[in-house]
Amino acid sequence: MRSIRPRVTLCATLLLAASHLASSLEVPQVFKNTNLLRTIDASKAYIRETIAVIIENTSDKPQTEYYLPLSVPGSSAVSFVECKDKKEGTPCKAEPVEDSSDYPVKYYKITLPATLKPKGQVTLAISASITGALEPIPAVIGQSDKQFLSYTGYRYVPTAYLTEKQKTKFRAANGEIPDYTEFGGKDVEKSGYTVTYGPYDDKKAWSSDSTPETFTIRFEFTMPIIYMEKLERDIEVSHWGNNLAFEERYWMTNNGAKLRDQFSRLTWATTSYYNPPTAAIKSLLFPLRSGSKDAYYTDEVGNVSTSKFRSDSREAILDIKPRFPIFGGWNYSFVVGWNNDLPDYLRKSKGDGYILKVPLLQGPSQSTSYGSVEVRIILPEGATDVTYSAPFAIDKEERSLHKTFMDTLGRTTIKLTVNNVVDELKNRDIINKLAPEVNRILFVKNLRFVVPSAHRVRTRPTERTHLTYEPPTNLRSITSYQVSSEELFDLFGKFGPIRQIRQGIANNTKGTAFIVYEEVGDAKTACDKLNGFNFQNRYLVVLYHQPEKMARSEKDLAQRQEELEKLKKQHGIE
Amino acid sequence: MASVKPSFFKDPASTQSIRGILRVVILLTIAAASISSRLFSVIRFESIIHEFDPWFNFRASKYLVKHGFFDFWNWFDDRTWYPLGRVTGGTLYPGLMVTSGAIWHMLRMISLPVDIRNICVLLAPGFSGLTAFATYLFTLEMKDSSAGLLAAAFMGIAPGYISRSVAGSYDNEAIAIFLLMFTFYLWIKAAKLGSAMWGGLCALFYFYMVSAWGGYVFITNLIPLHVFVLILMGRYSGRIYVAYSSWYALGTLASMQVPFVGFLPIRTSEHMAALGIFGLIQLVAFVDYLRGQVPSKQFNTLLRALVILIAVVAFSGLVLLTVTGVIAPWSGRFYSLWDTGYAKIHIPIIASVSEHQPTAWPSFFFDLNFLIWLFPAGVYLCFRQLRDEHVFVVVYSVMASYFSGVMVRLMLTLTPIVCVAAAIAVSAILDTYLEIDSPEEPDPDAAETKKAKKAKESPLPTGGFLSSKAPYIGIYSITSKIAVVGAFSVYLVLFVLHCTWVTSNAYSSPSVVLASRMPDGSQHIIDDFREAYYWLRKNTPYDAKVMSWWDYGYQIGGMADRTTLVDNNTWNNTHIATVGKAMASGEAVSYEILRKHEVDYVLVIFGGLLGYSGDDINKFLWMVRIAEGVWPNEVQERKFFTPRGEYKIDHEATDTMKNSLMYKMSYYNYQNLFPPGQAQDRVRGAKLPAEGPVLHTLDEAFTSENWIVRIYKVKDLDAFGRDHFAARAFEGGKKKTRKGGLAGRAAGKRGRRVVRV
Repeated sequence: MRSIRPRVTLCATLLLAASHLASSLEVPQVFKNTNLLRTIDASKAYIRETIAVIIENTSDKPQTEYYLPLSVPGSSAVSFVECKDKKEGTPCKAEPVEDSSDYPVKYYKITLPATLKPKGQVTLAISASITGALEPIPAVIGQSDKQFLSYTGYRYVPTAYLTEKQKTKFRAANGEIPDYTEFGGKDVEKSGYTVTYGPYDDKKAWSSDSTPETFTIRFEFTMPIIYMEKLERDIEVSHWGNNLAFEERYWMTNNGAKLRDQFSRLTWATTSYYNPPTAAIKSLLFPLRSGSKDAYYTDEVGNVSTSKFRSDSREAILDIKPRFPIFGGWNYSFVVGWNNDLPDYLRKSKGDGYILKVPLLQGPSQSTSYGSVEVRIILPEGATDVTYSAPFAIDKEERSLHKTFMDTLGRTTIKLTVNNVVDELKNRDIINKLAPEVNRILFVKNLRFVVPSAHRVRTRPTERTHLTYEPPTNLRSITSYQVSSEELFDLFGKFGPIRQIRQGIANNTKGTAFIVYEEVGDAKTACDKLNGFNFQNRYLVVLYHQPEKMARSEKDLAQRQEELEKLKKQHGIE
Repeated sequence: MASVKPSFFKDPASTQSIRGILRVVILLTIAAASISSRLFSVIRFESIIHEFDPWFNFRASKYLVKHGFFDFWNWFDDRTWYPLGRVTGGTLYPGLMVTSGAIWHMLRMISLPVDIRNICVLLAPGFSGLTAFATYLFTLEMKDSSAGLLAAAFMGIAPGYISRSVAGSYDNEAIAIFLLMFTFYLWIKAAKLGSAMWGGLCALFYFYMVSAWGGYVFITNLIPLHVFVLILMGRYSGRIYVAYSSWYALGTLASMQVPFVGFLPIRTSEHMAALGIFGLIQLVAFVDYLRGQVPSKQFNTLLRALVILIAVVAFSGLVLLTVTGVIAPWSGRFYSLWDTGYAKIHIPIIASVSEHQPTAWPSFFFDLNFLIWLFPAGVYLCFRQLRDEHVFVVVYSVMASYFSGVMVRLMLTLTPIVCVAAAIAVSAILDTYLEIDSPEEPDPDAAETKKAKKAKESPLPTGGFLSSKAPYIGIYSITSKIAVVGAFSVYLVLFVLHCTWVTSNAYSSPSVVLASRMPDGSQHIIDDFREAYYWLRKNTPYDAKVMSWWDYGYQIGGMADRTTLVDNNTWNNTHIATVGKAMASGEAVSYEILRKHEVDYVLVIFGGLLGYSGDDINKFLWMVRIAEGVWPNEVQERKFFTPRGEYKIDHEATDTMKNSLMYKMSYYNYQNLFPPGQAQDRVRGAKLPAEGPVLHTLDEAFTSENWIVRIYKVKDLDAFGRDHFAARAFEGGKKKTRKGGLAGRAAGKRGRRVVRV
């Protein structure tokens, strides 16, 4: 027996692997795309693909999960996918399917905002940002030459379902389009900066077995392709200074066509009078929030004097010029920073906590993509129980302490890392809740108390929030014992000075108590230590006092009381 | 001298304490003033390291805090002096870096993570406050606290010291002057008290000084000289013996712990004086002991014999050791201290440094203002009292005056003693003229009693001039008091104004960043150096080798973080000469040198467009001279001058000049910036030839905005195995037709065309 088992598992693993390799993701064919319009926008430093599709449920069951393959050829990668119901405007969740190894597409699972009934239709607007899909051709150009980029995509939109009607629009930046795949038919049309493929009828779902047709478009791109290999962003909250300090450290590269020869200052100086469009990064514009002040711009060798900062009541703009123009393949790293008044970003939450709302990413106004973004949020010393909600998925979270300005304990720091970001996520706020639930009042449940009648409501020790009803059939022996205030003082007083203890005497509050501490910290330790503590043979449930939740639970209680009455009647008990 | 009468304060005890508090407040104010007057450059520009050497110290400090002390101690730097590399840990004075490293760690310990750059930038101003305090203590020993406070104030703002200690001037002198003054103070204290503890403390600070600056040799020679003079004056005493012996024994042993110093204290001539005096003082002590034991007649004979014997033995021993090479003979830099023309003839590399030039007379006034004419008065006042410590001031004054006349740089060692002497003089004058009470009218009868009094007082405790034995009378006329005090107040105010002006205008430019004024009066920053260095840092391979003249070695190492061939501390003269030769020779010769040294980039400084006079063409003759010192047949200075002996860069320039790599790199493509035939060099005020130089073996890689820094990439070997001249000619459309030339025939041309290169 023993010798066989590992072999069996091994076989199973192999089978699994084989199936993984052989077939693409099995998508149940429960939808069809009635009409699909794909727009590929290449006017930025990355590709923005928008798919507007009307989907119809063809199965006889209601459906909620729609799959969509996105093409990611070569070294490109999907940075960000967003989806919404086009008519209602309600957002829906789009998440990558992990085991879809069907290169060169990546499957996304979209959860529809509402269940789609059979024969029902809904229009989805899905937008995706794809980085690394643009390639400069020629790869090297002269200093004042035009830069051309090339994009390769599928002629027919890869879909997981049958598509009845589809069309693809490619929008280049405002420059000429010297080359594009024509397929020799009427279905290709170029007008201005746009190339349209389609409409095509009844195209089957994507499968990796066949070789799909691709089109390639080469277009002029008059801007640099700004790529931040890394961005470190520090957001430091100073309670004392009433200040919120931002500092951003960038490692920048121009991913455009590389310089063929060496840099000639003469050509640069003589042509700069005409200010021609160039593929070099000449300046970066940082739109900051209004009220920003004390902006600075430095790099590894010190201050850079070529920056302008303007701040008024409406807006604040930091305009910086790198020390030298950054041509394709050149690198540059720099630091910018500024201050803001803290009250614009911080507010007090109900209870004793604070809520900090800051943009996760700001960055230059020119279109930019980021390799990795590390945001470090430095909260005041002693901040505890910090939670956050981010506007998009965070790849990694680290917590540590940061010591500065004669700190003794160190400031609570959260480092959030996101990889492969595009500037579309700019100015989306991250909300930091600073100990929202911590307060100095504890709510203790499940204390021993005198049961007035045979029925009683009791909480289950394992559950914290939900009160459960114990059927009256399961009667316990009545104890004539009640916890005294002194005993509670003894127990809870071990964690710090107590201002007040109140025990519930009413029917619905029996067995509960409020413990009011002098210090928030003590309340926290008591809560941490005593929750689930066995006190006089009963497991205590200790919570922070939250008025709004209490109200709800009171409502619950009332509801339950009603139910109890019903049950009583049902079973014929008094 | 004069005790102030307690007229304002009734209670002498409270007067004392109030004075104590006042002294502390005044000293703190002086420290604050001396720190803040050094911050011009930080306020005008930014917190940046200045000039050249500080960039190395800064880089070393960064290395220290990053890798820890022991790695720093054993640091072998393969990014300088390529291809040799530098045992940096063993060839520098670590005191400065260790000090800032210690401050950095201390601040970390109290959770103040200050950037090491800011510590480095502000170290010199911070220490200048301490220097003022040390000067106060030193002068206190000479005269009294009022003179001390004056000296501290002078020291705090004297431009002679500020020149080396503005914020950002992160050089060894930043802490060394404080250490110098404090060591001297401790020495005076030790000599006064005859205390081994003060001697030991003195040795400790001497050790710190040795670890911080090569100028420690000044202390090493000055203290023995002081002792020697005292012995000659017949002032030998047990105090001197204890102080000197404890200082020398402990100090020398301690100083030998610095790797860079090592065995120098017992092996080089510069240190022999201290050793000799150490021997001498033992003998003197022995003789002193004998004198107590032996009757005086025999003693004289014995003494004479002993002196002759020892003199002969010591001298012959010294000669013998020098000849056999155990003791190194005087170094070239030392000779140049005695003969100002020495360096120019024998070691051009020392002469090429501007701070090694003899001092011009105006710079004494420029750096010291009215202190320089008060200085002799102060020294004279020291003569009047001439206690042991005053002898020190006299000796110091004489030595420092001489050296500061020889080398601009040594103005720095003169400044403290000038401040002390001038403070003594000013305070003596104020003591005399600020006394409100006038003396009583001289009574003709009183003359005799005065004489009697004088007779009583006459045996003054120490020596001094006869004039000083006259009793102190005071000033009669209130007018003369007001006149003198008023005049000195004006001088003092002018001094402060002068110091501020000099500091602000002459010593507060980082020289890495240049400033100019826009037409509307706003400041415009010319940041070409950092632009180019940053380009190197970001857009060249990390192991790229950059060749430049040695001035820029430290800056390239610090800001561009690239390997350099030579830098500001390169000892290997031949290596520098090699770079000089590469710059001064034609492309064919240079290319070979560049290839052999695996040079990837060549960097030149060119001020022609902007009018920046400190550029490489102006330094070029030094490169030629240094190269000529090693290869007299290949590089000749004469060939760079026109037949009329002028140094020209325009159409009159010699062929050697025009073909030199330096000339070509400086002016490459430059004439295209101007309308044809109107290219102008704004530094040398010359019109350039219409035809610009042609480069075959280098490519222009980067030129900064104002053309100050130009970087060239050394071409790789030609893919077809041609030399670069042929390749360039081919690309230029000129067909090389060695064998009849197929290309030429195909184009329908006949005959041989030879390309001249």
